[in-house]
Amino acid sequence: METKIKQARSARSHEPRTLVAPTPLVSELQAIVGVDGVIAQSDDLMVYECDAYVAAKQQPKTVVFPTTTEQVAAVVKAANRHQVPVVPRGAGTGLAGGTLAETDSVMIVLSRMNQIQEIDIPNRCALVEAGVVNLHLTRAVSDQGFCYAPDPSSQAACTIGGNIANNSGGPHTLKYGVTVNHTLGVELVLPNGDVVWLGGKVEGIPGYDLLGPCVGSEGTFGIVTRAWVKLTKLPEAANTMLAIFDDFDASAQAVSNIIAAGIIPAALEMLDDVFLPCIEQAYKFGFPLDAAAILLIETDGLKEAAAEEAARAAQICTESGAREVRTAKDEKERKHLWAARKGAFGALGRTSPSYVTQDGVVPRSRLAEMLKEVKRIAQEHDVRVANVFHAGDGNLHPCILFDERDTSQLPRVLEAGEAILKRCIDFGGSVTGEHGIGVEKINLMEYAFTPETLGAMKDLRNVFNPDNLFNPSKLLPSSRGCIEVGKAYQNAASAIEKGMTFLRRGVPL
Amino acid sequence: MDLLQRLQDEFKEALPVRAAAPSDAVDGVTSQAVAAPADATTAQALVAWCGREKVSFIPRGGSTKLEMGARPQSCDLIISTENLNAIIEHDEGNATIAAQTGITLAALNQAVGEQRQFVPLEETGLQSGATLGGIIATNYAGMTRLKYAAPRDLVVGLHAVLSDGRLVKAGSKVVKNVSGYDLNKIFIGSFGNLGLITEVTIRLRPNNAASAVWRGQFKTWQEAIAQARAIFEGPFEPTALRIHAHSATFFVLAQFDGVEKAVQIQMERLPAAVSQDDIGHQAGADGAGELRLRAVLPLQSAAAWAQQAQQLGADQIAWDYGLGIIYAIYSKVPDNAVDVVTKLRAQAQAEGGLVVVERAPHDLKTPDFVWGAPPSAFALMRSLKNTFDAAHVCAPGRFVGGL
Ligand SMILES: Cc1cc2nc3c(=O)[nH]c(=O)nc-3n(C[C@H](O)[C@H](O)[C@H](O)COP(=O)(O)OP(=O)(O)OC[C@H]3O[C@@H](n4cnc5c(N)ncnc54)[C@H](O)[C@@H]3O)c2cc1C
Repeated sequence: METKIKQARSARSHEPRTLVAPTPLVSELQAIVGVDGVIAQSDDLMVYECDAYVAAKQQPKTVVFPTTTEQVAAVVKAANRHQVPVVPRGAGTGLAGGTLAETDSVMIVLSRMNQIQEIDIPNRCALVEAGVVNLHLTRAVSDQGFCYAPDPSSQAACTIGGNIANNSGGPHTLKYGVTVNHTLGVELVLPNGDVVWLGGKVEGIPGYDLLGPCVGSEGTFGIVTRAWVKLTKLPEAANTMLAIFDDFDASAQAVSNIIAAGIIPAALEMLDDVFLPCIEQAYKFGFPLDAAAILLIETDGLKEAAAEEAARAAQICTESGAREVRTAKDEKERKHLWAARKGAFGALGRTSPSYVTQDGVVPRSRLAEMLKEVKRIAQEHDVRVANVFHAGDGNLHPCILFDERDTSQLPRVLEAGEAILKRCIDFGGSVTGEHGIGVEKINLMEYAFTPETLGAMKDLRNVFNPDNLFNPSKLLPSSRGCIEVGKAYQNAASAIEKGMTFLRRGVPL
Repeated sequence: MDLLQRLQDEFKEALPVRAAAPSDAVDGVTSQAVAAPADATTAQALVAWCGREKVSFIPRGGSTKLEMGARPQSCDLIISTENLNAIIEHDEGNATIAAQTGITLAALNQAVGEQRQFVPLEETGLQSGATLGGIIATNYAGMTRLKYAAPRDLVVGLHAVLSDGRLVKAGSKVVKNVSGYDLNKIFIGSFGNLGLITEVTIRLRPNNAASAVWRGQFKTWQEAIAQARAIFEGPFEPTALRIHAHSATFFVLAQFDGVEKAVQIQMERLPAAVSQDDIGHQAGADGAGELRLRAVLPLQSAAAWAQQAQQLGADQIAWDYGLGIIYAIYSKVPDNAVDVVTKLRAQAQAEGGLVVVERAPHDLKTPDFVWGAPPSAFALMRSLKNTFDAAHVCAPGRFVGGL
């Protein structure tokens, strides 16, 4: 059965003000999307000067809110005629500066394309517009026993289009896979304004898999306007446990031991002693305040399988030195635990005014080793680090804490971050598991890839975006563009001089 | 000078090379030589040389899927991966293995089996001897894809050499990675058309504690479909779920893997199974046939398509329920093969599906007959081909739209 779902278009929060005469481009854009679909006034543009990576800021010249694919295509063509760059944006929760504008750019915000157009339960897929909020899709299908599996902690705000652009993950992607594993096809407005489908409702459409690299292309291949995504059957049962460790290294070793023992949990997350008091204060779960680290482990599937895997994982934790393993006693407690985990970043503001989050990945076999490296690097740079991460995937999120009022801290923070990411690469890993390169990590691309491989990436980009007018200055080094990439220090330092803030308490989630 | 001689002059002892035999022909197109580089550096040099000298080549692994793809425009040289078969690194704790692409799936599994792991790829029952490279280059999965996913979702890194001499190192060994564009994907399923894949890093799975296969026999399509649907939608987590139709006999095969109790309970939830002996090798087996089609269809259109394929002469149907994939196998090529394919393809496309011809007589194998008309993104694909294989020497003509 195919169900059509209509949701109210989001409230138009930006009332236009036409105090000064619009430029020719603005007039053209207004003709396409209507007067209330364009912002070109400096005060109103402030919201769009950055995403959740606030170290660098730059207002776009114009922001447009199309409601259809045709409008997106027309806006792109108009921008082309005026030779100005285009920057796509979803909810702006990106952590790598992927939505950072060029000075003269048109920003296309997909938030008004927020309709779930079709839910096809028998075929386990849905057709959604790019601006649909991740969690809204899951809510729309959960009654029928399904979910949209990729579940970033920001899922209450971030959009499917943003998830696709960043190939986002989440706690449960350990078992269920990341966004690229759940995207069947995308409708893409190319940088020349043409509209194509990559993939479609069914898998296996002949030809090169262009959908694969389009997922994770951070808005440099074009604008995703609609997508067919997979829906996943909810498991019959889920067991959620909290393993409490007095020794940090032992918790890391437990993660490697669980993976090595051949258990594939649905989620395997870790939080350290800096995070514990913060989330305890915020969520009052009864987390142990004296522990060095906790693991949040979930197994799911058929009742019998979930129970047996949980028992084995618990035993491994105990053998690896856990002081206690608690099991969530009911669905309420389980949800409470997950709320605390997903709210961890937000709670960090309780201990530090500011922080930067890294997103490195190492082989699961080297997790304990890498965490020791993180500690060493933190000491060497005299910074404090808090750890919360998708341990089962080897995906670290060391948060480097600092106080932006003390400008002397920032260079150390950024240097420590870079040192950590370089170690991840040395360990055979990656500088980013789910947040993307954006502008933040662009200067590490040359450390991570050979010139030949980077050249191949550039060739691929040119297939889609030959003039590099689409989200320039992102993802690949030495792109054309007005943003000084590779100079994260200066950007950040000058941001701070101007009194701008880093991610901190009150991340809009 | 003939190609064999030129290769010998160029590479000396570094490259094992011989004259091609008639059995080396691909879709009836005979090549002049077969080269089997024994290390990655030589492989890279060879592909670069082919690009410079405009020598067209087709990479060859175990030959189990070499008949897939359109008839090549030309094929001067076969590059066999038989000597590129080393395991680079088995990282048990990370549950990944990196290996050269000529290694067979069987050899890989043997290596990781000692650590109670396996490679979640499949020999698809057509022929044994599939290599890692062949499976990745065709993105070919069997029925266990329902649980284990397709090669595309399992590969985390690969090396490919391009005809302009570049070595592309895509991804790494970690299981989650969004740094830069995922170049893995464009090579997976590209049928050797963009370059030679020399090394692959792939995820492993832990051995299952228990495993069982349930088989039921049915008299009608309706009964078989009802059973498959009950398994797909009910309290089961099948690794594979296939309806197999052999003339007027229908079998449903469901495979369950995992912890013992769960496997047992799922088997108990089903009616008494038919034993393998009763049904011989029919259920689950799929012969290659002389004409073999793979359709992908939305669920509600699948049964009608399968029945139509039977009416048009298919003597075996294998329907991977839940994946929407249907194989229609003709043991003899129908006289009107082109009409049959055209009709079945039109029916699938009208329902939002597609048909690919996996096996057919050589003379029929034009790109459009094999793959169907090029997709909406074809201009992008052509542009990709032109940049990655500007010399047009990598398996020319074999892919969609004659790429
Ligand atoms: C508190 C917090 C927790 C987070 N937790 C996670 C987590 O667990 N896992 C995770 O992976 N990420 C996480 N993130 C990061 C972020 O939420 C994700 O990257 C998310 O997918 C971004 O979606 P968005 O709609 O906000 O996109 P935006 O930030 O608006 O854009 C992100 C990128 O996508 C591009 N883009 C957006 N829409 C489109 C489109 N329609 N077409 C083409 N390009 C487009 C933009 O140009 C930009 O490059 C977290 C962020 C925060 C602030």
